[in-house]
Amino acid sequence: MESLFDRLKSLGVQVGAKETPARLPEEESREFPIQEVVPGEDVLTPFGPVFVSRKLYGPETLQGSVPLCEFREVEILAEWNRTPELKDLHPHSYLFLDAETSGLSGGAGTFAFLVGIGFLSPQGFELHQIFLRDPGMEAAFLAYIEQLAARFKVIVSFNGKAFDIPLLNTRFTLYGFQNVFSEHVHVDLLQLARRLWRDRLPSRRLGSLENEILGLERTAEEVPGWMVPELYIDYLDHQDARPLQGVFYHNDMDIVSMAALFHLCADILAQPNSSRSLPGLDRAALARLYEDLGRIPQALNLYESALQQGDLPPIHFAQTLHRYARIFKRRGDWQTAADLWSRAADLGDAEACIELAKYCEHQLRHPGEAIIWTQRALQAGIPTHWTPAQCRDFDSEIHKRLARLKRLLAP
Amino acid sequence: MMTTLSPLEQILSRWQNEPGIAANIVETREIPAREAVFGELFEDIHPGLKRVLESSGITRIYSHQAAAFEAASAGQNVVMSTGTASGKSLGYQLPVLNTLLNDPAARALFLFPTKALGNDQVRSITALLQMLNPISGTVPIHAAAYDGDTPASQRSSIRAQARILLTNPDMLHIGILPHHTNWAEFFRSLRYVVIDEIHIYRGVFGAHLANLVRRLKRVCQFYGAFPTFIMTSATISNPREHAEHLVESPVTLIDQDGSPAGRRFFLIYNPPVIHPDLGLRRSAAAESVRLAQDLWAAKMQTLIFVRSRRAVEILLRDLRDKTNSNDVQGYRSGYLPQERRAIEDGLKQGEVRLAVSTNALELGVDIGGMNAVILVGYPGSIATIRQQAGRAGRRLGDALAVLVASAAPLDQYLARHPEYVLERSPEHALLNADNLVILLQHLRCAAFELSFQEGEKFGAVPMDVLQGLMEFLAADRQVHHSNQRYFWISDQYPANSVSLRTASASPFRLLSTQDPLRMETIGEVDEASANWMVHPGAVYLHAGRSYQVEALDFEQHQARLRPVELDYFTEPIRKTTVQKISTLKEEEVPGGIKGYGELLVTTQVVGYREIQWFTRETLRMVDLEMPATQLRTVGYWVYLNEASLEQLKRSGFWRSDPIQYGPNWERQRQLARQRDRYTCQACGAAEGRSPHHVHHKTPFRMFTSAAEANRLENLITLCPACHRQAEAQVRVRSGLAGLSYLMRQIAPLILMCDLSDIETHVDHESVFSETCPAVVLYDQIPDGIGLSESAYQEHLLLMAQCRDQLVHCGCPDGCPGCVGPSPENGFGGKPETLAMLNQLVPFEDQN
Repeated sequence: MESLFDRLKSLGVQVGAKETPARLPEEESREFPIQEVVPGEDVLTPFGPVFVSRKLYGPETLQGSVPLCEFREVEILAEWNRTPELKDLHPHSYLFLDAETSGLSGGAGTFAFLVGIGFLSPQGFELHQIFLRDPGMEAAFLAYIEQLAARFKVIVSFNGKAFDIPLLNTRFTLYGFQNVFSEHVHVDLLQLARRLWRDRLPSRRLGSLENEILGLERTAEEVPGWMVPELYIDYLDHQDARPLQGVFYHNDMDIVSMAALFHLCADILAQPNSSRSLPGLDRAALARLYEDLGRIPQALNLYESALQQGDLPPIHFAQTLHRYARIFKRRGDWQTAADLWSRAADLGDAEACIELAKYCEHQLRHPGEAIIWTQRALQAGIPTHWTPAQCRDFDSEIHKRLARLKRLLAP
Repeated sequence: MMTTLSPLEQILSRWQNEPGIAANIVETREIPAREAVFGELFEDIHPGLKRVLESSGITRIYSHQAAAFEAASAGQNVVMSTGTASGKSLGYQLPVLNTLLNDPAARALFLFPTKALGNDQVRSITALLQMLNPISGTVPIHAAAYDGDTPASQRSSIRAQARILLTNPDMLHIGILPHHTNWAEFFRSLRYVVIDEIHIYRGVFGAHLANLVRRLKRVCQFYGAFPTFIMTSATISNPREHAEHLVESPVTLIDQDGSPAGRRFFLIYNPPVIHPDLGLRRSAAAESVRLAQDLWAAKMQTLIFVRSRRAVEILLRDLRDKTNSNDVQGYRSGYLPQERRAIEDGLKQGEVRLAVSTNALELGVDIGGMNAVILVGYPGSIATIRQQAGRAGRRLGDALAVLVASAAPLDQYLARHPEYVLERSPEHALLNADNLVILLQHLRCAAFELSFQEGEKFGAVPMDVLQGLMEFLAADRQVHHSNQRYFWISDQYPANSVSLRTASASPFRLLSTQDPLRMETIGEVDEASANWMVHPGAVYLHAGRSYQVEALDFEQHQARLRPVELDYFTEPIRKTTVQKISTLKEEEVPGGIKGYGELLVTTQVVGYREIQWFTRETLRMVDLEMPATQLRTVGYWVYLNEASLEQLKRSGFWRSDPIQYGPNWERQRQLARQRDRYTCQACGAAEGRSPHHVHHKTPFRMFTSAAEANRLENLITLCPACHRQAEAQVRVRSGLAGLSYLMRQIAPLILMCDLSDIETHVDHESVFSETCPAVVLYDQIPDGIGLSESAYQEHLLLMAQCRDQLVHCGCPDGCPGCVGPSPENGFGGKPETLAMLNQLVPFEDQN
């Protein structure tokens, strides 16, 4: 009698894309349970036991150059996050969360198998890593997370708004738990990192921020994120937890770096003009952030210092001048704005040329000058950071302007 | 006394008096006007809903709408199978809205086969809700479309607010069910699922949909919901059975159409034969244009249905030239939405007098009733004929539908059997939800959505199969078995690799090498067809352009094509062998034996012919070495029993006209006998008083010249008895080839499938029987989809229809309309095929 497997194969069903790694014969029968590989213990929940690895970083710990356990001023960060209540919450009510998952696709079939939760306590920085020994034990795994998370009021994550938290919420729904994270204030550091370092760093992934901002290198224990799902499936197959050590390390580092990064961002936001030697691009990014928060005096200071520092690449220098000038324009201080635009125009910034043309036409009522600026805009060409829609209209807008100005000039 | 003729009757009478037209009208059927049959508005219908209906002038509803309301409100699954424009939409809207009004938490899901149809229904239901919400005195009901075009920014508010969600199977499959936790509230309170136009869900699409329903029910059950299904269908012969296969629960059938209709005429028009030997008729398109012009001139609003988007453009150009008017419009997918809206409105207002459309206008879209509809050729199913013809019809006044037959066998068959079109459709919508390949794909998705409990059911899948498939997925490391459950552990998103509209999910992309740096994708072919459609050297036609295939890349799943202008097209030469894996059923039938079982079909493209466009002459043959492809499927076979075979061989009545063997025949015959020493080369008997016969090894008709055929190498001396045997052998093969061709052409009518869904094969290797080669008809889909099984069951009907087609085909000795063009075995094969069918069809059914 033909087996179902053979039948499926003869129907053209693809089987076993990936083979499991071969194991040495003497290892065939030997299992390596997680507790032999990672320090930790089973904790009993109403839904059964769950494996938790606990760790304490002492109060003096530095991650890179950042002290892990100092409290920070978070007023501006709270404002940026649009959660003013954050500044009144004690740092002991923060939790730092990161999940290692079976995949990245999301949906009801993706689950977390290792969730790290870090928090500050009088003893220092504590880390709980909750591990799903088997998909059949997920209820206990989730119960532990729920119980621990309920003690806190703030979640700090890295891309947690889009990934970790919706994923965990899905798991809670599947197991009939209430929505655990609905009351928490959530600070997603990825969004802040994009705000601050989009122009300066090629990548805003946690790993590269760790290198660039915290000045850290991970050890050889590190496993890259893309390998994580496969390692867990291997573990389920062979009950050999050894390769998972690297995953625990990876998760541990993610959490601790996240905490350090949080502190560092809070500091930068709280005291942007402190003595720290911030690159000009960071200052410019901070200036924009302050401007968006409506804190104009600080924003002006930051624009000024970013421009004076002398390390802005030309494109960004012109753009920053331009943003800076816009504040004066809005205030009606045309003279200052025009001076700034002239500086940007000298660097070949088309937008500044157009602003100057407008200024000459409408404020100075000097169409002749306006024509010169318009022509210079045309020479400068389309700014590189423009959207395709803006680019499409560039030429026609300029020619329209020129035509109008020439009519004004005609006797 | 003279009675005044209606404008339409005047046209009909003019046609009847015009010999060039009258002779081609093979059927005129008058369908009398039908009075409305009303049902009672259900007693406890919500007062708000009642007021809205009354304010739109609806004080009574038709009997079928009332019946649907009553059954659905009582929680029975319902299928409404009534005519086009009979108010099926209102039939499901009423019970759903009534429930939603009475229960402010309740929700409903509407599934439409296409996005366009869903959008159309959103407009219609939103209009209803705009009247209803202000006066309902309860929570407003919000309806929203949710499909691939829904902006991401609106999705979460739709999830939270929509109480009626309109979507399509693809979106449910890929975007909703895998993310069901985001829809927890929706599923928890889901009371109704409406599935519109279920006759479309047959074959592969049907198998996918049935599995999608299994997944939907499973997710609902997780949230404690057990929704009622309301379905609609065009008129097919088995709506209840089909609906029950789809939802795997009992379904109440409502097929008494209570809507009124004006008088209608149905004409079947068969263009005249212009070349009897080739079975060529005047083109259906040209004849349709001629009829349409008359209708246009008489100011009859007319809709012409054609089968392809290209045909829309060709007819449109032709008709615009001839009418020189801009009230002639085309309608097809590919037109911009606003253009389509404008044409729909133009049809509704009467500003568009003549429209040429693909089936895009067949479903749902509200354009009002036409004066006339012309169908250019058989549109693929009788349900479709009825749906398209149903576009003609006004509450008052006459309407006309004309089916213009093409030369294809099925068109010709229907031209002689108007009763199938007008009275009893033989069509069965078929689906096989347990096709292993499709089932496995959906089990992956289902396991992704919710882990499987040991012993948990998945629709009607047998427990041992389900268990086996789960173990298969576990061995493939996609699920993990522990704690009596199977958990999805793979990092894949399985819905992504399942396309609901095909069986295999990895199509070949067709890339144009016109610009080698930026190769543009011009289309796709499915994996199974790639070998013979886009083999190297093949000429591939796409959107009116021809391309030649430069390379077929199996690794990358792509073919590279170069745009070319050639005066030839190509035809692949395929070698097919069929092996039998198992016999699942076997039964004696009149004249022979029929069987059904599993097959392994191996097909190899061994070369191709280059054929000139105009002369159809083979320019050259090219050999190819292509990998063989295997299809494991199911098939139905039939072969003659020994008694019938003997009878055929003995009786001379299938003999065709004597053949003229050419001027050198007598001489060659003498030489052959002399060479063979006047001895039968089969049994060794020496010549007696009369001379032995000389037989052509390869039949005479296979050759273009007599000299070629009469070469000595092709001749052999046989005694009369052995000669009869040999001739019979050739004739049997020839008859089987004809039967095979005929079966493939006719079966789609019963099976309600496309021609490409099935294939037939003559078993010369005697895999099925030693007595006589069998004709095999098999599903062109791995594991089969129920087509050949149904053909097995309908064997007698199929044989009778094949015979009928053959008897009534006017050609002398085989044509594309019956046994096919020059079968490989030489003879036209018509008399041989008929002789076989005379054995296989009981005498009383031979008419």
